[in-house]
Amino acid sequence: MSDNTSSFNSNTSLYTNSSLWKQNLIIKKDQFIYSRTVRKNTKNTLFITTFILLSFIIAILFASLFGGYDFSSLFKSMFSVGALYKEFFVSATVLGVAGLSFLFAYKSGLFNIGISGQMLGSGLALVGLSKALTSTNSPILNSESAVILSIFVVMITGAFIALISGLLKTFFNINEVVSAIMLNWIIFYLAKFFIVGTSGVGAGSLGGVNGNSLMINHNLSLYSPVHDSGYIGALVLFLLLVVSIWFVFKFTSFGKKIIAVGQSKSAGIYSGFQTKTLQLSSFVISGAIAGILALIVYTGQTASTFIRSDVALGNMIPSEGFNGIAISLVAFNNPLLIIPISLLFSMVRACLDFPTGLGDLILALTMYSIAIFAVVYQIKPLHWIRRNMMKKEKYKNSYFVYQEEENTKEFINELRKKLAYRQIVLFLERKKLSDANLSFQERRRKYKESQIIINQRYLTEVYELKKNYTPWYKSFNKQINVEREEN
Amino acid sequence: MNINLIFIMFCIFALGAASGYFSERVGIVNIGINGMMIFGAMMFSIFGGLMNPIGKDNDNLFIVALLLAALSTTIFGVFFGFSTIVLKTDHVIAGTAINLLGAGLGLLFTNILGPLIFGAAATELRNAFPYLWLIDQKIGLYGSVLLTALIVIIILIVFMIIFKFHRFGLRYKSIGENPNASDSQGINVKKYQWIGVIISSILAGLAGAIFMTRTGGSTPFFGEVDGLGFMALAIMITGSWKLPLIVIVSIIFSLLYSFSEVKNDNVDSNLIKLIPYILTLVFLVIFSKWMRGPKFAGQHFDKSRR
Repeated sequence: MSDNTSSFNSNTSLYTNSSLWKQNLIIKKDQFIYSRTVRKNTKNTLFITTFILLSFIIAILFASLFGGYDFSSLFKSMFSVGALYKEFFVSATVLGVAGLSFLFAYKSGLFNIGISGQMLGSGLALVGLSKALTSTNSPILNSESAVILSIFVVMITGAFIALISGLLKTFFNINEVVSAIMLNWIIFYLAKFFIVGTSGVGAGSLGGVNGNSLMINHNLSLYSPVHDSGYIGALVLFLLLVVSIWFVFKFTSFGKKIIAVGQSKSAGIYSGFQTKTLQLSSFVISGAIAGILALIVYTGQTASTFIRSDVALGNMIPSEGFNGIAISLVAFNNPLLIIPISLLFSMVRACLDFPTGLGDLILALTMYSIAIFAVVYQIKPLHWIRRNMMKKEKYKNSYFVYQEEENTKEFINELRKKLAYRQIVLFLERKKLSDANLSFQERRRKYKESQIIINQRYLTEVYELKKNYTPWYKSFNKQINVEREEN
Repeated sequence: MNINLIFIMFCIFALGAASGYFSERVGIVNIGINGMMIFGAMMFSIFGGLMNPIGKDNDNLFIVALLLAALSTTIFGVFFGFSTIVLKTDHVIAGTAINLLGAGLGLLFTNILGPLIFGAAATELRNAFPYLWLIDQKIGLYGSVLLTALIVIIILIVFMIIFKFHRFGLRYKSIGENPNASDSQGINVKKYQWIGVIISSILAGLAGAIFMTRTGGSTPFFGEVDGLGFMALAIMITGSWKLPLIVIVSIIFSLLYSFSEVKNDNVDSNLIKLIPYILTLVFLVIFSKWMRGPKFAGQHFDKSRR
């Protein structure tokens, strides 16, 4: 006993000898790697950023391999063509603002699929405003600050359209997805009626040339002739929105309440929040942001500012809203993360060499890989490789495992021998019977009889083997016991 | 009114809504019906182009193409099921991903494969099968349209019988209400969910394939099904998650839809097209009290929560 204690003391002295800062370093390192909270946070942020980038790159490679496009032109065209950066920024803001609009409703647990409809409706209202003001020659149009008026109008109409489906949700308990889809189509056909309609009161009243709508007045639009683009206004609006939404969710009780309701509605009710008003207000704000999206989409891009003809003539609801859903979900519903992600995806859209379908496909593939994000937590490749590829596994008590394996090796070999011997005997028996001239029934009966005898013999042999065999750890115990008995 | 269009729209709406019904009755909200339909339409036009090239007269093969397109859509069902059942992601996120995936694939492949399959003149994939077997000259009803409608009706009747009387259907519906209770009775919940997702994808693919045959001419495929998948979702909810009601609502919708296609000089066609959507909203407001979907829809099955 005394020897044991001395050896223990000698071990501890190692620690006292090493300097203090080294100990601290080791403790800090252990904390960083093994502390649960720190590890969780770092792991999450690391995973999310790498996962988004990786899935984006894989999606680009996959799509370009499939379609046979040179993906390096993605980066080349960004720098080679001078005027491309304007389009790039505008499309980035379009994606980003649509994502923000979706995010605000999704934080409270509502799914705003009607961003496109709200956008189209407020664009229509903008055209109407422009027509009304130009026909009366009002002095508002003379100054460039008329943009503020158009921002107000656009936000109010978007909020109003969102309010309809929000009220249907709160008062009649109608699923907001269905009512928003219906409103999308209603607004779409109303827009078609006002732009290209032929018969009826007010039909085609907002229509211009080539099936487009009337032009929106320059002072009401984000477009500035100095820069030949509206990208500065769009960027300012986008960044303002991002910062304010981030502020609302980070520092105000309103935002915190919305998040709480979105996480669990019943928990919100129990803690005394007015969940219905909270959800309604978040949905309405989402609609207002969709209105701002309309301002960027319809007046931010080119000098001719109108609702484009493909909306009016084609049979498709504008896809900006649906892309926004994807952007927001890819960004894990984080307002700050929306900026880099919208920049990333607009890079593909602005690239001239790619066909239009490719940007959508890459977004879709990234979206799906985000949808199967949980794979990251379930699949552990390093662990799998260590378990399956490497022959020697690292056990905590590897000495015991090694001894156990050594001990059982002989026993298992013996067992295998016995089994093989039994198979051989059975085979010989069957062959002997098949050579003999017997009827089928008799042969089968005889074979079964001999089979029983052989099996019995085999089992008794195995039984004896097992009787003699003692696992290594048991023998270990026995030895100790024997020693104690002697003492 | 074009009577062929009525039958075909009925098929699309009923199949799409039944697809939603199948996934929602096992507790999985399938928003991706639209994407699945787009994929089905794409596969139908590809198979059609390969089976019935311009020189040859293989028009009778359209049913084979329909079935192949429907079966090939199981790929999307497997994707969707993998993310929702195995990995337990949010159903809405997975459904949106499927929607986008369908639209993206459709947009890309219609431009790439169109000239390869249908000759250099074609810029898009297109429908290869015309209407067949004219039955009545006056009405303009075609036998092939009637045949597809009959197949769909038979499928729907079989489903109705199964869900009303058979053991499979009753167990199936029980999972949508409380999967843990049915799990305690020895029902394999995940198996039923996989069956539901895959049948749902097959039905949606069939609906998309039928969508391509709607005019009977060589209609181009623009990577879209005009948002009919979302309409099907709305029809399922208007039918309050019941198959007979779904069939009735889709009949009404198909009538309204084909009525709005008729050209009228007095009223603008866009205003007529508004009617089904406004009517749905009104229906929903009136009957919302009595509507009740499966209780478990949108949640993940967890064995340990029993």
